[in-house]
Parts: sequence; structure tokens; C-alpha cells
Amino acid sequence: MSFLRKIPLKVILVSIPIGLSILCALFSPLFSPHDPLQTDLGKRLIPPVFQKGGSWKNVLGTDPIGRDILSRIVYGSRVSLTVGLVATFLGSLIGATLGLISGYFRRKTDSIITKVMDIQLSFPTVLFAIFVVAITGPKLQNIILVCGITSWVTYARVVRGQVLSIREKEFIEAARGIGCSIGRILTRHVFPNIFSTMVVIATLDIGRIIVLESTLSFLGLGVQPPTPSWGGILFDGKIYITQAWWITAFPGIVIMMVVLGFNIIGDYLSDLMDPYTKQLMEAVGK
Amino acid sequence: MSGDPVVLLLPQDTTKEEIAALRQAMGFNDPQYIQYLRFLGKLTKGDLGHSFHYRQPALKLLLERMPATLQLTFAAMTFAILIAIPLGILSAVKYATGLDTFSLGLATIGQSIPLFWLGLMLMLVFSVFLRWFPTSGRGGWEHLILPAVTLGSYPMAAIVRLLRANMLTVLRMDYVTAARAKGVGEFWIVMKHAFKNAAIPVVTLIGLQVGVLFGGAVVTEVIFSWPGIGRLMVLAIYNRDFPLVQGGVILLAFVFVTVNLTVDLLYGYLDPRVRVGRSV
Repeated sequence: MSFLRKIPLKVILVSIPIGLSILCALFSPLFSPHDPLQTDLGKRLIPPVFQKGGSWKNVLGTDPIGRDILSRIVYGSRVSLTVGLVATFLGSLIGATLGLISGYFRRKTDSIITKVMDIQLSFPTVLFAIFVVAITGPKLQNIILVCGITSWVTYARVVRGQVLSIREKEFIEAARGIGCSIGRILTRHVFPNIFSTMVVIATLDIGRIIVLESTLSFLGLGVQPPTPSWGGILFDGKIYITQAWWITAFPGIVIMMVVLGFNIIGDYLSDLMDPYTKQLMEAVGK
Repeated sequence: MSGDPVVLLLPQDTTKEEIAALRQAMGFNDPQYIQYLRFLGKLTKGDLGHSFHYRQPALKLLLERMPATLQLTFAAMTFAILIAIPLGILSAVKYATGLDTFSLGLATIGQSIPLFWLGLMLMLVFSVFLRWFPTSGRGGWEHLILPAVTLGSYPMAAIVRLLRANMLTVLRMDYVTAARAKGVGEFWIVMKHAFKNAAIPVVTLIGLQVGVLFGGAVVTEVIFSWPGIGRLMVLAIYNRDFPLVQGGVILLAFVFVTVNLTVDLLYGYLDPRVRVGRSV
């Protein structure tokens, strides 16, 4: 376990909320004290335990139709983490593939892919996501797809930049010389060299996607009720903010802790990498 | 397409024939490429179509709300720059001190906090508990402060981080050492020799952040009931008022591209090395 000692305390600390939320998503019934969908009009707007009128039965209070906030947050982690992880994977897959192609083949293919990247960058992300989800409908697969599409450009740009320099190296020339196919060169010789960069971008991007998903939910364009999601709880609590602060406060704290965690881990990972990659990523506007 | 605007437009007791007639009249029965070509044709003449819900030209409705959105984004950017530039410079100059840790921490939190939640919490603390500012609407400066701080927090964080990193690089350059050897005061070294050069990428970042601001303005306007384009668009989405949504997206993308073109042109002015048509 000696390698653990080299990791800064900050990084270990911020991993705790991430680990907890993953456990919550995997074993929601174990962690939630109540059924997140169970309404009880006799228990409307109960404050959290430390405030007058609160009780240990509903630690973080209840919402206007008597559902337990803690249970809803626990179950809500499923939506947020699923969207965060799947969309990040999707975005990195599209981005890396197009970046590899664009950097390796150059010329026409490169200029077409670069143009598409520029067009996408000229479009504010949140607006794009709102627009697409409003048209295609707020279903889980649409939300994942749109979040993935908003992130591919970052990967594509960085990967393209790296491939441009890697393709001139001797080991690629050697691979070409012994007759490797283009597919083999790209997947077995180029890709392993860009993988660590992709991990860094992905870690930094998960947080952004979780916020994007909760923003969509907050606007009523997320996974539809009654399925709980972190942004959705905030959407429900918005109009009760003057009477029941706990409905909006707690899910937001959870989102912030998880996103902060991913961002700090991402920063740590990118500090471990060479300065060239860091500059490249900053130039992309991460 | 989810949601049929025709059904939402008409009263509950409309007959099927009437619905079909309106669909025909609005051109929804034509093939999609015809509808798209018709849309593009109108777009070249500056016609973004008619709002289904308000029964007025979409462009007129959007332009009416443009000043409110521009005021909000401008105030947010001003807030971000006013806070971020001193913080970014100071944390590079006082590298690895308490001040540096503080501003870097503030920047990390600023980039992680969901914008809509920050807005709700600011509203909760300053409007509901302390009653310093009104919760919603547009009016005097007191209406502007909370939305501007909410919207400006992310660009603020991004500028602090970039400026700090650039200042750290620039302060190690030979010409800074040369200036110091020449006996230039530390204040002028930081402001004139280092900041001027470190600021160039920050200008690009500010241009790119305008896009983030427009996206964020949509959410901020909804929270604070700010009567701008963003709120209009979200209401239009709920009403399935597609021409208005389309028009809003096109208009905001247009402003974003214009701002970034201006930034690119400004770049040549700030950095003589990138001027077009001149050899270095």
C-alpha cells in the first residue's frame, strides 16, 4: 500500500463522496431508509433532524408530498452516475476515434473533421443540450447521447494534436515497414500512447456532464418523474424555497461534492502528466 | 418530435377535423425536407418564423428581450473580470502562500458548483433569510446583483486558473529577470512586463466564456425570473413553440460567433506576432 502514501490527502478525501455515491447507486435499497416514491400527505415538508420539528425518521426532511429527501438522493445517484459515466465513455469513444483518424490521415479527412469541431464549438453547450432534448424528448438514452455529443470535441482536439506528433516517430514507421495494417497501427501502436491523456480529460469531464444532466433535470428536461434524480429534486423544491430550504440545499451539496471530487482528481492526474499535454488541454479551453 | 404544438394550441373540445385543418394550414403535413428548405429560405430574409404561442414574429419577441439578457451577461462578465484579475495576479505573485491556496480553492469550487444551485442558495441566504435583495424580476441594480454573481462565478473561476498559470510561466521568463536587473520596481514588473503578456490567452478565454454565459443565462433567468431570451426560450420549450426556440438558438449562436470573431481580431492587435500578412 506504499503507493497510497504518495497520493495527496486532498485527493483521498475527495474520493470518499465519489465512492459513497457509487455505493449508493449500486445498492440503493440498502442505503435508503424509505421508499423514494412513497408519498405520505401526513408527513408533508418535515424539516431535517437538526431543526425544530425534525426527526430521525426523515433525517434530511421530506418534500411537499411527504417523500423522504435522503432516500430520493440515494436513488437519484443512479441517474446522475449512469449519465455521467456512460456519456463520458461515449464522448471519449467518438472523440478519440475521430481524433485518431483526423490526426493520422490529415489532408481532406482532417479538414472536414476539424470544421465539424469548429462548428460544434461555436454553439453554447447548454443551449445545444436543451434544444436537442426538447425536440427528441426527455428520455434517459437521449440525455446520455446529448451529453456524450457535447464532450467529444475536447477529446478529438487533444488526441489529434498528439497523433500528429506520434505518427512521425520511428516506431510507427517501423510498424508501417513490417506491413502492419492501418487499423493495427492505430489501435495497437498509436492508441496506447494517447490513453493516459484520455483518462485525464475523461475524469475532468465527468463532473461537467453530471452538472449538465442536473441542469437539464432542473429545467424539467431530465429523466421524468417519478424517477428521482439530483437535478429533479431541485426542480421539485424550487417553488418551495421560501418554506422548505432543505429540499434544494441537500441535493445541491451532494452534486457539488461529487463534481468537486472528480475535478480535483482530474487536476491531480493532469499534474502527473507531461507539461506539453497540459498546455494542449488548456488551449482547448478545458 | 415530442409533443404536438397543434394540440397544445387548440382548446380541449376541438374536433379532429379542425386539428387536421390547422396542421395543413401551418404546413406540418409537408415532408420534413420541404419544411426545412422553407425555413432556410425565410432565414435568408431575416425571418425566423412566427411563434405559435404568442402569434408574433419570433425575431421581434427575441429582440425585445435581448437587452435584458445582454445586461445580465455583461454584468456577470464584469463581476468575473473584476474579481478574477486581481486574484489571478496576486496568487501567482504570492505563489504557494495562504492567499494562493485560497484563490485556487475558490476557483476549484467555483468550477464545481452547479450554477442553478448557487443561484438558489444565494437567493435563499440573501433574499429569503437576510432580505437584502429581491428574489426575482428586473429593476434597479439590487435586482441585478444576485443573478450576475450566480452567472459570473464560473467564468471567474476559469479566468483565475488560467491567469495564475500564465503569470507563473511569464514571471520566470528572461525578460522579467532582465527588467528586474535593470531596477524596475516589482509593481511595474508584475503589471507591465508580466501581466500584459499573460493576459493574451485570457482574452481568448473570455471570448469562449461568452458561450458558457449564454447557456448559463438560460438557467439564471429561469431561477430569478429575469425577463430575457433564456427564460423566453425555456417557456417556449414547455409550450412546444419550436420557431421561438429555433430562433433563440440561432440568435445566441450568432452573437457568440460575432463575439469570438471580435476576440480573434483583437488578438492581432494585442499580439503583433499573429497579425495577418506581416512577417515577424
